[in-house]
Amino acid sequence: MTRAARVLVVEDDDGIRDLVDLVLSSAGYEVLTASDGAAALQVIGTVHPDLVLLDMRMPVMDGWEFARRYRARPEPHAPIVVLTAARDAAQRAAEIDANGYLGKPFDMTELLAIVSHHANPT
Amino acid sequence: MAIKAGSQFGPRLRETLSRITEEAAHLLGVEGAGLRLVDGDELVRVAAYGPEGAVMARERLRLDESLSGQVATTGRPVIVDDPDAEPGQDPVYRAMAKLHGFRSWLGVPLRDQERVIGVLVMQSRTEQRFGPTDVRLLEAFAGQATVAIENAQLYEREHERRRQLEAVREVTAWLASETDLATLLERISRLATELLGVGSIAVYLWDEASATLVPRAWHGFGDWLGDVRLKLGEGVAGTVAQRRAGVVVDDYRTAPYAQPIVLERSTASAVIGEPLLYEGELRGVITASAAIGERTFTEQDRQVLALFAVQAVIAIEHARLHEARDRALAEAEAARGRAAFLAEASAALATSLDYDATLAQVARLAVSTMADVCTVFVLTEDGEIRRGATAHRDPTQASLTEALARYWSGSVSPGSSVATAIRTRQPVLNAVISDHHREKIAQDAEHLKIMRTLGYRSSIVVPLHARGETTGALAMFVSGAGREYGPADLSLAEELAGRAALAVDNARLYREARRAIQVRDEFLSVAAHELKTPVTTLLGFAQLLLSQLKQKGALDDRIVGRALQAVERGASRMSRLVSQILDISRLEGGRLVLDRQVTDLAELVQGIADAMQTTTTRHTLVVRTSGRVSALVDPLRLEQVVTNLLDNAIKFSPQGGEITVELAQPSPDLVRLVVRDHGIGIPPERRQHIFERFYQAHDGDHASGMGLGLYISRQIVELHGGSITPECPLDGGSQFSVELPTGRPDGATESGTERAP
Repeated sequence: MTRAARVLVVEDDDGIRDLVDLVLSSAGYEVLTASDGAAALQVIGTVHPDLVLLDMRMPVMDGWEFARRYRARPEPHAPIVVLTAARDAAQRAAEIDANGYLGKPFDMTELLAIVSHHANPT
Repeated sequence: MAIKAGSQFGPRLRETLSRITEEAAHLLGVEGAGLRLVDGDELVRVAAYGPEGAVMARERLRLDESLSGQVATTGRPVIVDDPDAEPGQDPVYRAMAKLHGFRSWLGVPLRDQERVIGVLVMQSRTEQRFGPTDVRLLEAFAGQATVAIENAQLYEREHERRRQLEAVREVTAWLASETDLATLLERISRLATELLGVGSIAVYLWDEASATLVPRAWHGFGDWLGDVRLKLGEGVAGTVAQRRAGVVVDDYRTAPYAQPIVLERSTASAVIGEPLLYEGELRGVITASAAIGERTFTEQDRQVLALFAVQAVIAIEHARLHEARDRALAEAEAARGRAAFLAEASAALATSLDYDATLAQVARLAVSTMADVCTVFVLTEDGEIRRGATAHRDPTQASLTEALARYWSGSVSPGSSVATAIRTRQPVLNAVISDHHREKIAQDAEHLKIMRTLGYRSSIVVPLHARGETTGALAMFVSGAGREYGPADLSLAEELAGRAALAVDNARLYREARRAIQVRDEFLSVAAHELKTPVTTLLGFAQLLLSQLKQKGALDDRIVGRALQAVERGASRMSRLVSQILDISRLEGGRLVLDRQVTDLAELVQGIADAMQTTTTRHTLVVRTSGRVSALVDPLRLEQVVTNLLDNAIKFSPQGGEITVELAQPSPDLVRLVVRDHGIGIPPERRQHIFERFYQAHDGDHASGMGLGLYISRQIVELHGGSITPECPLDGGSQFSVELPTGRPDGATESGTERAP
């Protein structure tokens, strides 16, 4: 039996982080959380995620810096889906060469759909 | 009438005198004859017959020094038989008589009625040559000769008069064709010297404004005459002007007319003057003067000058009218040019609302008509004068101007014309910029070199006014000799500046309006963005709970608890955002009202710190205070300030650590609150903006919130009469000091309200 896909949620807002954690956990995903880019890199140092859900505007280390450093690490690289409240969510995603994006506020079904599309356990 | 030397008589008179002398010699059959005419107390030789130099050796004899004089004085003939035996005879005559062998001498007077006008002299080599018959014969001849001489003199005078009249007519016909006043006056002066045969002429014009005669053209005087001003009655010219009639002065040097400077600088002795009258109005005076001993003037000279003056004043009036017409035409032309230019300027300035384009347009307009270089200076909000735009007629000068601008080191020095024009709100005209001035203001040799190369000759600086305020200045320069700005240029520059100021102000308002719209757009964008985060949480948890209810028919208590917690946080965050937006609206409308109460700040701060401590585990909030600190403040508003400062301190020290709040009362009427964190601090280039609306010191990366917290905090503190200051401690982090007046906490007013300004 394949293991559940592992999703790393990088988000500074406690409410959204908790929400995404709950929704994905309920759907059977293994969920890891981090409140900023630096914390996320620490998590990745020990566990490889299958998908990164990434907020862009965060204190300490933002989404742009996280993406740059993550890509600079040796393989494997999980796909990145951007979570953003910015009007031009697509542009944000393009800026860091992300695999997809989800604009805030988002629907639970949208969240589940995009996660299931990108999260493939390796 | 003064008698000129014989050679200066007219041909008719000269011939008559010679013929009389020669015929008298033939009549008496003698070898020598001569004729002298009386001139004052002298006898002047006018004709001689016989061996060259032997007769009438001396040109002039005094009446009391010779036998000829004796003849003239007594009116009786004199016979000399032996010159050596006659002690009354002139020694020069005796010497010459001896040399040429003359022995006998006879002199008879020339009489006109009782007056002796001259002496006719006969000389013979024969001893005792003259007897009573000779005397009678010669006296009869002398009678005829006198008539002939007087006829000839009359003829000569008439002839001279005609000649002068002719000259005057010729001269004036020619004068009338001269329309340039200065040239005309110069010609009048020169022609008068020729006409009267004198060395010195002065033409004065009457200056109504100063009520003086001003010398405008002259001959035979130095430049010093140009500084002389004569009031009515002063000097010969002033006397002529006062009397409006000609004056003849024989000896200027002792007459009451003498002006000290004229006595000192010239040898003028005999003077005549005539008024220049046009239709009875005094236009000026012309004077002719002769040097000491040169000559005197007669009534006839005065008449000639008067005639000349009548013609001259017509020519002067003609030239004046011409000049006035030319000036009026030129002014009309200039006015039309100015109007066209200003209309064009208004149109050109209306083509753009872009601020920088408008500044450049203003500079270009000035260069297109009235300047070689034009720079527009702008007064910034903080009172600095900055260069806005520069235009050049000669584009190759641009690099020099740029080099020059470097010496301003970004702003204009306070003593400069630009600063003066802006400060005094008055235009500055530097008609001539001297090299001395350049040397004075040059900061170094290179600076001086650039200024000399540009060679600005003249400059105008006009302030730009709009809506009652000075917004900048327009500086214009021209280069090259003889190109100087005058009052007409100044008024044109002011007109241009008036239009330019409006255009620049419109462009500035437009720019500000656009900025305001941009800020508002950004605010809406930020507000929308900020609302999306709590909305995401609310929406997400609601959907999660709904889907659970749908699938399982019941709710999981664990999830409900987390959802409610998130909903509570999200909703209060939205509530806070809405309050901030309302506060901004109140502040801008002046509707934020303080409800002041005597408050213990120590208790207030401690309460806030305790509440906020519960939201974080990474940070330690420490309050340092020494007991009760009372102040008359609005406790709710102040709570907002302290919460905001602590919120920022927590937000911008994400690694956690200690955050201290120090509360002190350095003096009875002052409270100081200092919030210090050890977080990421404020980048130096952003510090000056942190109190601005919608400003976020960490945009893009770390921010959350709308950038309104500090703006609102500052407004609240200032409403309390206090101040808020950011500090950046050397060991990192941020520190905000709030100082508040305690506001009479023990006084009569225990509470009160105040409006925002």
